[in-house]
Amino acid sequence: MLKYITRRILAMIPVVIGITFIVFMIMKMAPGDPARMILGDNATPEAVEALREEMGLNDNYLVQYGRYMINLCKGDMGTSYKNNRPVVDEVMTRVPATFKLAFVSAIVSILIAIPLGVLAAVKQGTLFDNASMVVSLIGISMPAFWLALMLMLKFSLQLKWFPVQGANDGWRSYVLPAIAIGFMNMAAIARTTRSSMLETIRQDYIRTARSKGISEQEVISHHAFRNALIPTVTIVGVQLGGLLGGAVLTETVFAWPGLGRLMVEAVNARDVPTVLGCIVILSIGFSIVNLVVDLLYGLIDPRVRTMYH
Amino acid sequence: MKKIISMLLVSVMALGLLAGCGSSNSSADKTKDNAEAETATEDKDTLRVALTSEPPSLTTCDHDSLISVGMNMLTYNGLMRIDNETLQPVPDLATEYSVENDVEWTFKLKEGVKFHDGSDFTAEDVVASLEYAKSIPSSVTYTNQLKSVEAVSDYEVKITTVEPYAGLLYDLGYHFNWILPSELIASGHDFNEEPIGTGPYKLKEWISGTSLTFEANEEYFDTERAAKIKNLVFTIIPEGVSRAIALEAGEVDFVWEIAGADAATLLENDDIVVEEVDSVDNVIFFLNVDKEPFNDPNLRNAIACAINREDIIAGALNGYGVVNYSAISQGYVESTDRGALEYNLDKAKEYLEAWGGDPSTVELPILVTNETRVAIATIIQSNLAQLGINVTVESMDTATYFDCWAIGDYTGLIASWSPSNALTYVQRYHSERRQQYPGAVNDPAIDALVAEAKATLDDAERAEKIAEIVEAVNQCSPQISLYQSRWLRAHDADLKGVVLSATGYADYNMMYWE
Repeated sequence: MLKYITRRILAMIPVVIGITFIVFMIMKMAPGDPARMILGDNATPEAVEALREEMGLNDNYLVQYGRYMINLCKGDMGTSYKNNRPVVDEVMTRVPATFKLAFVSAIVSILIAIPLGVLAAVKQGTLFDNASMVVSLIGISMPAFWLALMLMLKFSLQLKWFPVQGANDGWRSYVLPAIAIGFMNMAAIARTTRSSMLETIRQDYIRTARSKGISEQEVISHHAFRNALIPTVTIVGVQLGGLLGGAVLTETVFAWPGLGRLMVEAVNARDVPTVLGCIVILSIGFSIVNLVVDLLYGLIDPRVRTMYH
Repeated sequence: MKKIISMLLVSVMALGLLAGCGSSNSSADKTKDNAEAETATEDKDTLRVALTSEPPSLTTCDHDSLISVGMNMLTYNGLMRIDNETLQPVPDLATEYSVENDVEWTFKLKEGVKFHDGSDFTAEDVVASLEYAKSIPSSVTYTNQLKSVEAVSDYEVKITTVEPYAGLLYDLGYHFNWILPSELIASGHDFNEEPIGTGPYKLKEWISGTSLTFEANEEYFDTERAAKIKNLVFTIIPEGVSRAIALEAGEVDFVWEIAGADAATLLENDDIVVEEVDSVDNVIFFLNVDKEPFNDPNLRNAIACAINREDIIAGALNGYGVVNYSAISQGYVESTDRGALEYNLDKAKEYLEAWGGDPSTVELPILVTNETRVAIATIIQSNLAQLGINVTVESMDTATYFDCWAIGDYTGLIASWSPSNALTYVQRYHSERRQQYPGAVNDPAIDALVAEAKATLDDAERAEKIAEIVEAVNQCSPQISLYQSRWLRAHDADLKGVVLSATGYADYNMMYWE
């Protein structure tokens, strides 16, 4: 197992290199001169050119990328073109807020979605099933932006239960953003859980379990549920990985100081070091989530566990 | 299992219903209300301001950002400052000034002024700061007239300009030329992380992406302009609706930028004041005069006459704008609309005939960067269709837009300009600006007029020169004025002393709680 984990962690290195290389090249090829952005409208072409030279922007893209990666290995993500602050400080200030929100919203969505999906599958074709799937459909279709504003109007403005913005109010700050994100993710998880459960409870071994006289509750919880979990874990992993990059719209509405907002602002400002800093964290986060998901497969299904050796 | 799941679901739904139907008299609410009441009492020495975005820099001279300048005004002073009500330069760290030979300016400095680090302000700091500003490329427009700066004594400075220059006092009032401690400049101090100046507030904390907190400088030199509210907290709330809700919910006291749609709701709230600021921010339709057929003034004039500014204000701005036909913002002492071409479709057709070309062959892509400007460009598209001119709207991100502008890769674009004085405004029509913006005005006669205006120290004479420049530009429409923005700010009704400048600033140090 340890060997497998070590191998997977080492495999993250080419993933990070590949992703940063692609993003670096895209950012470099996009129009917009960082030197012009830094110096502003008043700078003369000579001053812009001098700064380009000083920043090494006239070097070959591969040379620039190599220089970036060497510095990254030393823990230096460069300096933001936009505000001249060290990118590593900027990024690491945002990471806790994004990661905490991602995990809280994942927990919210899992706690609601899995029971909902299981129950909908067990009660297939009933009013409960149809109602829960309609709720899921609404969740998938509803823009998170709109839901966030509605939650804000009701719970912040009218009831004054939770703050409108920011992450400075302890657990109360997390409630509305987590619901806004969690509701959307909940819908997808519930639908996946339902279809996976439906497929599982039609399997021969479930019929065999029932024919042996095992109670329906035990059949569902011990035999069907565990086997139906793999697609659910997969989709939770994919969603959590996505959230680690920041839920941009929700972060914007709730003024959440997260990675997503930082990255979008950096892209708009052609702030390549900040974009790359965010991408590095995002790709490492996604890789770790994938690793955890793979390990969970092994915990859930003993057949998968044998592949670790 | 089923029971557990059912119970869980019922609990979740009950919680949802409780949330939906919860009355404001619940115990949780009462606790919150009490907490808020306590906070409100404590907060009376605090002003919480919602900003749209984070300032890119807290230094004086490596940015030209409106938000950053607002922060600079808290921590620094210049020899002069631009008065937010009159837009005129008035002495700040200087007590008085005089000029000899039209180029030698002597400034007497205030004594007993201290920087935030406790060091004394002297003439050496002025010399070091202005030399430092000159060394920063982005400051060039506001420092290129400074030939030399000398300390005559501890509290007297002589500034010699390259040539007679009427804009010096304004330039000294711009953030680029504000004063930093000479020792810190020499030591390479990071003024972005720790802005040390003489200003009415000191930076206490900057949490990236979240907030900036300032506290009053108890040793501020100007008792009249010393901070009335002890703490200032700027919170970054990028979304307009969220800013408006935060104000209504009492989480912030002052919102820097309110959208027209949100203002309607806030106007109904007696606890909130919505301020409408008629700005000098002129929104302009640029035409690339280097590109055919837009090098012909008759075609440009036809376009200027065919654009219905009222349509733009009603259709794209919810009515929050003021029509401007002139090549300078209205609102400066020297503003004029002499020779302005107003909306007149018949006149537009006359100019089109004078041009003599086939309008259906004219392709005019307009570069824009945001939704409002997309709407403006779409209205222009519809207006110019009446002349048979084919307009396309090209929306792009800011970086690409500025890049296209900087290399002259545009035919038309929409931009804005809001300097604090008329002289700076008309300098944009000098062909020197083509260094930054290829395709901008290129007329030796206008260059000569700009040079004369810059060198005219007499206010009345300079106003006349400026009027001549504006008239000349109005007659050839290289940059077609569309409207001046009407900015919306909103704040708690108990907040007094709010003076909002037409250039977009506010003196937070002058605000106080009633």
